[in-house]
Amino acid sequence: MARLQLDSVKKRFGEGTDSVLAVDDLSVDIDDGEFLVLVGPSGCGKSTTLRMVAGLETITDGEVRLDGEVMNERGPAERDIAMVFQSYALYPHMTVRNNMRFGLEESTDLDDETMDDRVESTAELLEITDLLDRKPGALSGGQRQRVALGRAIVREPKAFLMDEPLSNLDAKLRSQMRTELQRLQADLETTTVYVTHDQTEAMTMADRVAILDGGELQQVATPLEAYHRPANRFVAGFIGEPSMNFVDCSVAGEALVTDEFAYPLDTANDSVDAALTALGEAAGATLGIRPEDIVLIEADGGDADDTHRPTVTDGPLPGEVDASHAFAATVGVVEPMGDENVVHLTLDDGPELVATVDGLRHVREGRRVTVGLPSNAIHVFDAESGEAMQNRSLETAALDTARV
Amino acid sequence: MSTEATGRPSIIGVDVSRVALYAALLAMVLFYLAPLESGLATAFKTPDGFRTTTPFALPPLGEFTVDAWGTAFDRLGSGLVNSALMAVPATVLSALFGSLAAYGLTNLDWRGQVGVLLLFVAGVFIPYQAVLVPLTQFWSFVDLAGRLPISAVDQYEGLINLSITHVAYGVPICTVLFRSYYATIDDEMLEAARLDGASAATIYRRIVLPLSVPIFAVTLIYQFTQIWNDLLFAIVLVSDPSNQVVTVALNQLQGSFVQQYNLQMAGAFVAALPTLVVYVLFGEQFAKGVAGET
Repeated sequence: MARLQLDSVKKRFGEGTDSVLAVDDLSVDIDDGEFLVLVGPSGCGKSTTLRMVAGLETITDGEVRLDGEVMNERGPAERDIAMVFQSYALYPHMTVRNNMRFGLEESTDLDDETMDDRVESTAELLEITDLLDRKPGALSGGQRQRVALGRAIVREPKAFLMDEPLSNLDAKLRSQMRTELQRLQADLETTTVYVTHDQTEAMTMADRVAILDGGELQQVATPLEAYHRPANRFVAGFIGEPSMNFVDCSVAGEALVTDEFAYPLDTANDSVDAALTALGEAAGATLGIRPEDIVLIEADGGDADDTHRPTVTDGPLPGEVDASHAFAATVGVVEPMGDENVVHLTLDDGPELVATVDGLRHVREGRRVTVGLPSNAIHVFDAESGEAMQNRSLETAALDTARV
Repeated sequence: MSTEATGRPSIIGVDVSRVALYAALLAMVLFYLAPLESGLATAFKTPDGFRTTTPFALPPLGEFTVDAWGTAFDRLGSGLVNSALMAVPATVLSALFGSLAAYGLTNLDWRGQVGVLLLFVAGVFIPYQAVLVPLTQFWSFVDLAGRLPISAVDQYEGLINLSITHVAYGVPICTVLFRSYYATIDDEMLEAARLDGASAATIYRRIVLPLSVPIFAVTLIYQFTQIWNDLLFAIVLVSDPSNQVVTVALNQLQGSFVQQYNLQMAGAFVAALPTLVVYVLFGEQFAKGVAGET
């Protein structure tokens, strides 16, 4: 159990002009017992970061500290860290028992009896006691995963590092193991760094998530914070499934416009006003809105062949959707997920949006609808830097009622 | 002519192409086994027998004898022992060194390893003949018996020199063989072992070595056959008749006036016997190693 600090860590592969900067100036402070998930698309440097913490890669610049001690020059064996690999990396010629004992034999001076006890109790914790005398080749993927976890846990290290440990499991087993890993980590209270490209894993398991892109840290926050208050457009798009809708606009007066589409901003709101001022006239800005925040109002008799263009008067608009924030649209593909329907929309004014509506609500392809984009749910990003200028407001919890 | 559902021509249910295939295979078997059969048949004939019959004909009545085998064993006996004394350590050591070198060059990371590997690869291609002169010069400088005053060293100096030469000559090919196998070992597994606290040496001993059994079988068989069958180094490096290895002894079965084909054939089989035994012993592992199973 320990506090793990990454201080301006850099990793450069190769030298001279061919060198690649894999991790750029990464600083994260992971508290004792915290579960931190490093998440990002493939090639974002998350695995490299983990390997630097493990001591499997050298650190080009910066410091990794465990409990205040600088780890940079220590070999992986001297760091008291255990790692779980994506391929499980079990020793195929050893029984499960010996796989788990190996680390104890190599890194501790425990006597045989204590080692056996530790292995037995860890096996019990993971419910793999029956498998102790089998070899990895005779185990299923899920069982191997448990053994790999057991091998890490049995050593009682200061920190666990997990490199996409669930990605080789099938979907059902993965969600099971996700819950179990959380339970284990909460019980053991061991500082954990978990690498994944799967934002669902990041959201569900993490105490905090660190989102990486192109070797640079985008945001470190709790999952909900990253979801509702993304630091920039990348985070907003990466976290959440289906992803946030983005409409590239420019600032014109007090509205975001693109071709025919115009979204008047609510300048009565101080933070919106400040964002507008910061952006300046004619600057590029991206309007963002989560699929579940889009309000769908079906117009009566609004079939595809109906040329009648619905106006806001065709359906009652929920209170917080201003008339100027309602747009006429046509329903494209509808993907029923059971609990919700993913609806692809094309606004008459141009932009294409994805909305989610309740699974029991019947939305037909080709229907004419009115789409409401509530002003308290929108995000505004600087088009150039991607930085979030305005995030949705969380004060108005009444948003839920808007989902008809 | 009727045509089956498969479209192949057949006569009374017999597939003609299949018959042709087996016929061709049988012909090849006969062709390749003919020398072996001739040798065996000749080895069991009396001198009259091999003079009056064709080589591959079985011994005629009254011309069958096992005398040649007895003589062959007598004359090759000490050569067999010497060969075993020389070849077994040379085989084991070259495989072991090859394995260690391959581990260092494949699974460990250090500067300049590509250059070293290239040297090893180049070593595979050095012809025996090219090193004969420097090699004899080398062994005339290095007086092993003088440096290690032990009676065994003095007695078997020729064999020890030959054995060391074979180890040195065998390490490159062994390294290349092991390297291709070690390249398939999961890097994450070795990294897991490092995190578990194992040193490079421990990882070799407890993980890489136990996983190398199949490739060890391949290397041992290959090296043993090479070293056992070598004649050139044995003739050049070993002068003491008491240190004569089996290939040299076999060569001397060739009479100067009268060719005793039966003795030569029996001798050839006797000399080849140990390599056959090695194949039988490691055959199953050999197949796995060639197939690249871990």
